[in-house]
Amino acid sequence: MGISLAALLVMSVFFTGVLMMYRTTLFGNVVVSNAVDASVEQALKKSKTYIVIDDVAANSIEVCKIQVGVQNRGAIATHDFDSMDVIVHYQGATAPVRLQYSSGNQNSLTGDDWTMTIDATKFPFEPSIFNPGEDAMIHARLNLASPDNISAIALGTASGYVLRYSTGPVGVGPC
Amino acid sequence: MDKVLVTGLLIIAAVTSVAVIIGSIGPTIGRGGQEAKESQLAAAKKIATSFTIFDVIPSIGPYPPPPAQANACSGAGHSCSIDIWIKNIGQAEIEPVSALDISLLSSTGEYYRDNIARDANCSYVAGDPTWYALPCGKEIWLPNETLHLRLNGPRNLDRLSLGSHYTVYVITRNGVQEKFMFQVPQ
Repeated sequence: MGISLAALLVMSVFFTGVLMMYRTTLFGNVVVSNAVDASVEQALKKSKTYIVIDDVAANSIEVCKIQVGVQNRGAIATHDFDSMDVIVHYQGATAPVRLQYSSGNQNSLTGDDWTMTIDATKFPFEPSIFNPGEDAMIHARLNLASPDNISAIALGTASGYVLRYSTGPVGVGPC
Repeated sequence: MDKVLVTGLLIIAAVTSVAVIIGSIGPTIGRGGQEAKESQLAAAKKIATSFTIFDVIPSIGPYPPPPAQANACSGAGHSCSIDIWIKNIGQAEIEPVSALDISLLSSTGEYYRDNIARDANCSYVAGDPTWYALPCGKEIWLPNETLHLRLNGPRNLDRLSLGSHYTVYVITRNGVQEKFMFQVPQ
């Protein structure tokens, strides 16, 4: 009887210790596993993103406005345009500028901002989402003090995909 | 009678042993468990931390850049300030931004500045290179957010030569590193 009770107490201590260690390990495994899952998902999203710039042109009448033709040739849709980055580099003395996203149309741009339009007649499927296979146009209005040439455009998406596109000199100026 | 005595003594011995074991090993197990938990949380945070440098722009205009009053390093033939644009593409907030470690290395290896000092006042102090985040005092860098850093090197020694290649390194407090090679325009 005494030996059994003693053994029982010792075993209970042993199992309590094992359970405490297991609980800690399990908690850590769940946290690390969730982080790995999220990280892999993010990497996958980045690897599926492939946006190309096919043309950069200045508006012939309002020279402070530019149009950047983009194509989604990846395997994932992009919709969070406000998390995208557009940076314009100039050839001359004008400092490079990161343009602010504007959710309105191209006529509502005020200066150093951009918006994106997808031609709903050409791509009627989900017109506010930049789906794979679609073409879109980035409209930007630049706030320039004097005429200059755009030399490059850096485009970044929320997934971390980055495209630094050398435009060649594109003449722009104040409106 | 003997059996009862032996049983009683064994029970007392067992209870005492258990109390001693719990008293001595229990806290150690608890502490060990807590440390293991913290270590795993840190590992998870590191896995969830990810950022990408998507543009580095050396400024070759007047120094410091407008709207500040130019006071030194006119930029003729050199760059004295660099704008770095970084996006948080991970799941975790990166904080504090002031704990970022910024380093700059020339492609020839002749110029190297590591752990560049942060200028808490976001000014243009003459002396060793400094960096700060814009807007000034920004400390929490949220997922999906783009961070703007400015690096200043007003001394002759730290002016970047036109046409040269440099690599900027950004390292977070938990050891996640990104680098970006850029060329100072000719």
